[in-house]
Amino acid sequence: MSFYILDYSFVGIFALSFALIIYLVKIKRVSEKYGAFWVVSFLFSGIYLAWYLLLCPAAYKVENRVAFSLLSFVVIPVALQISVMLTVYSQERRNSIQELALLRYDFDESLKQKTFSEEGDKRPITPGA
Amino acid sequence: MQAKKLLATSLYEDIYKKVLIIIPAYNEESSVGAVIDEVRRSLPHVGIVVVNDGSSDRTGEIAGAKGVFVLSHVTNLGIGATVQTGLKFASRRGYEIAVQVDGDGQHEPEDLQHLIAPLLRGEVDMVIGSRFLGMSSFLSTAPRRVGIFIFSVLIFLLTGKWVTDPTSGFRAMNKKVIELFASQYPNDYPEPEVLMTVIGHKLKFQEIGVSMKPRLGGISSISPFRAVYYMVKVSFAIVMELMRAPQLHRAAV
Repeated sequence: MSFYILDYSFVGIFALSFALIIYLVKIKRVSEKYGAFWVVSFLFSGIYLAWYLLLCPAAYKVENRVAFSLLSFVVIPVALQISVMLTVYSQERRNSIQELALLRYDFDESLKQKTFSEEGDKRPITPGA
Repeated sequence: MQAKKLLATSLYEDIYKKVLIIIPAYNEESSVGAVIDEVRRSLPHVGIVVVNDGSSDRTGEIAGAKGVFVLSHVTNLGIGATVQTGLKFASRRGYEIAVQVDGDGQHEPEDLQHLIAPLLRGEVDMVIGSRFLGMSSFLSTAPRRVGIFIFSVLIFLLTGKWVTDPTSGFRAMNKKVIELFASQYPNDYPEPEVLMTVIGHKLKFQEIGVSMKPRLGGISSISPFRAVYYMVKVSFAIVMELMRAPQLHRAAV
């Protein structure tokens, strides 16, 4: 009977993780790409779990519930952390490549201008001009 | 009379010098040159920047030979980042209007003037070229049209605004919108999200009928598998954009 607490906590972890993902996407700590992936994963694992429990009540044992809850405690935070890290990494990579493209253009342009002005200096001065 | 005509021409030139055409291109060597020529023929005085998104072919080289600005990503980043690079360039160079024109030659450069006109008159902040309002004979594939319709319905349900072509990449924007998106721009398949941000910021936009042509070259980035991802990701992003506070974007500007 007391293990019902475990079930509730398990549902709680799921709900909390779902809310946390939505919040992280909202504040742009996790990109929509990973957010969409996690939302779809959550929905499918929820459907799968419900189907499994309905069809295989024998598997609904205390040990299984404990193992699954512990697994959720570890896997979900780690996965979320990875999503945040990947988002930050991809954002920084994107910014760096964009800045590099803009800097390279500025550099090429100033080099071109410098070359032209140096060529201009070498031109002979026309008398009386 | 002659002086008046000269003044009008010089004013016309001055106005269009503040317009930047952004052409995002990834492996578009077969079409990018023609697109640049067509844009020049249609609007001779505008600035043109080709953002070469890590192409493995001669896209950058061909664009460079045409004498336009060329910005090259060292690796492929996707359409969102490519357009954002163009917007950063527009912002830093002080352009007042930026227009996104695809490098695959599907957009009709003759529509550019119609797209820019409402911005020059100061009526709206962004103009979207819609292929469903024009007399376009080319309307893309049926599954794609169904996808576009689903996004239109979703955006209408969430915002009450009906947009006939939320995925159109043929868009013109004013300074306000350039600054907003130069700092933050969605990643892949960004158009519907951009639209949601514009609506969220209470900026004014308008749709104008444009013509579309079949691709001049290159391959579309949307395969059947990517189409499913596209639908899920964009639908999720549309909902998230609605939840997101506009302050978040303002803080970043």
